[in-house]
Amino acid sequence: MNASEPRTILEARGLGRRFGGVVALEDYALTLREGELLGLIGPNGAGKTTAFNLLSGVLRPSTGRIRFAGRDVTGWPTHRIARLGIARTFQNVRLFGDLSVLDNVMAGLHARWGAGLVATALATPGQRRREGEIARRAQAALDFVGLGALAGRRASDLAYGQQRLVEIARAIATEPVVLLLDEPAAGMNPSETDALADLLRRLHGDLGVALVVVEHDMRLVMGVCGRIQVLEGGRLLAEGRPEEIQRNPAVIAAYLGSRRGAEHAHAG
Amino acid sequence: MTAPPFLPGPKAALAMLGAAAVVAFADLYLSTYAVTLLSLVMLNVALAVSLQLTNGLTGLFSLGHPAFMTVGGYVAAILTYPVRRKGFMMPDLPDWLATAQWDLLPATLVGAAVAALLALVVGIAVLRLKGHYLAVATLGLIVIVRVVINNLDGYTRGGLGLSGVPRLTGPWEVLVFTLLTVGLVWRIKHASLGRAMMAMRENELAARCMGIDAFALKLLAFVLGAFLAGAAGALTVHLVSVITPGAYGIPLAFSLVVMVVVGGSGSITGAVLAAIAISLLSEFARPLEEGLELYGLSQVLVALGLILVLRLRPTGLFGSREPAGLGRPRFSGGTS
Ligand SMILES: Nc1ncnc2c1ncn2[C@@H]1O[C@H](COP(=O)(O)OP(=O)(O)OP(=O)(O)O)[C@@H](O)[C@H]1O
Ligand SMILES: [Mg+2]
Repeated sequence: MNASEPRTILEARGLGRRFGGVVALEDYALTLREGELLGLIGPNGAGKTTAFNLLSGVLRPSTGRIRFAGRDVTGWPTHRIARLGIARTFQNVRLFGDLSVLDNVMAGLHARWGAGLVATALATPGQRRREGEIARRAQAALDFVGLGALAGRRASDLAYGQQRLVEIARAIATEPVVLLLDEPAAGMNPSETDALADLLRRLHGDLGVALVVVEHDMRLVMGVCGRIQVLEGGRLLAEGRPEEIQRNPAVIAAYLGSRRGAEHAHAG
Repeated sequence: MTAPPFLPGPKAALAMLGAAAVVAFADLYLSTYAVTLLSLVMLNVALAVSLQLTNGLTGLFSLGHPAFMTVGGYVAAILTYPVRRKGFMMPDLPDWLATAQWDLLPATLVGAAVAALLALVVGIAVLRLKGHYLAVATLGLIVIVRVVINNLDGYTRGGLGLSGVPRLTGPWEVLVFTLLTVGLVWRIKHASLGRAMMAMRENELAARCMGIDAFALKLLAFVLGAFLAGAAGALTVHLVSVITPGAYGIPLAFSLVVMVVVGGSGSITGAVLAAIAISLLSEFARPLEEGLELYGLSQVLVALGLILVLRLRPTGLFGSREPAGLGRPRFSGGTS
């Protein structure tokens, strides 16, 4: 892994966020390399989602800086951060509920491929080409996550686990450089979780996306991630390879032990 | 299916021919009253569909259409007004306006553009705010526009209103405008732009995380809706030949919102049908209102109709959809 280190794509230093008196995240640091698969774990309320909200520009940090490909993007509006190539999913699924599954993914492609008002009004050949491109890419992303056959269904009619996959398809259709997944396995049954692990490996292996995965399912995290960060009470508790994390006494005390996750982790 | 670019597809062409046939029939065989009524119904269709863009597709809550109609109507009327009567009716006009007597088309475009400009200013001020600021701001705008026009009496004749506006609008002009409006909103809805708008309506945070510039898109939907409303106002004034500061007010804003909601937020077909039904209902309630001296009866009927539809079908007649068969084929990898 240390042989020829790929360049750093997403970097955070001293990142912090307060909500009134609550310190949700403090002095968080991240160095994410291109194509890396990083796990972010920690007990409830540890600040994992807050870290994602800061990295994706949903929230502005109270302290610290964020750099993308060497460029300081701290405080940029959400849509501009997204256009850099940082895509995400949400812990509480956020689909465009009334739209079809395909339209959900196609809507995600608007920023990059959508035609403007005049071209749309005139239905110019260029606009039609873009529409075709959007439809093709959306369908390919749905096929990649295994939902190709459900393209015409209304998004909110799908089972919860499938909705999570639609979110992933919507995110990967944009060909992100960095993908932040917030508890992708939540609400999935064991066989769906296995399929998800396979999907994450393919995302990482075939598409070379740099992934950060927040997840409570230790078997999944330990099984797919090359490196893991542990948060507790808003602070980074440990960082390292899965084996190191599983042996780390502070982590076991704070998190794995309490959840009996250590055994699961060894099993995976 | 590969229809040539720019032109409507076969189904749309058929619908357009159907509408044209109705107008031709009315124009040839029906009374002036009926033709005017038909024109007003078509204008309501255009207004409802343009509001569908702003409110239904994008999920904004604008009540501003009457204000934009009033602005578009007055601006266009001042531009087309006969020069020989301008000195008397509008003594404060600067020379270049006092001596101008434009045609309907440029006057309508300028009226619509001024309405759009007004929407741009209001939109920039309030569309970044979360919550119901737009509803409150556009409601206020209706009142402000009325007060301003009342007080600019050297340009507008104030509360007396402008009468004797040349009757430049006929059913054919209205038909063309309505078809253009419906076609434009239809194309937006069934293209990436419309999907982005609906995505924003469904979940703004997720849309922003997908790179959609929510503020810019809302501004576009609001300003474009205002442009179309301004044009509708301009055409209406040249159809009925008068305009007063209060002609288009809060009751109209209410009726238009009802058309959008009853038709189904986001459904163009729904808005068209609801606009036709509600316009005709209001018109035919009028003799009743006069006969029974129950003024406001039509508003009450519209409100009752709204409650009824919301009880039976909370998402309106069509939800956000178009009836099957009217939509485009979805999975052909392109659009027809
Ligand atoms: N928008 C907010 N307003 C106020 N407090 C917040 C907000 N978001 C998070 N917090 C608080 O910040 C802390 C960290 O929350 P966060 O959601 O980041 O935790 P988490 O690690 O994602 O937890 P979980 O595993 O339950 O999802 C919690 O104490 C939470 O209550
Ligand atoms: Mg969380």
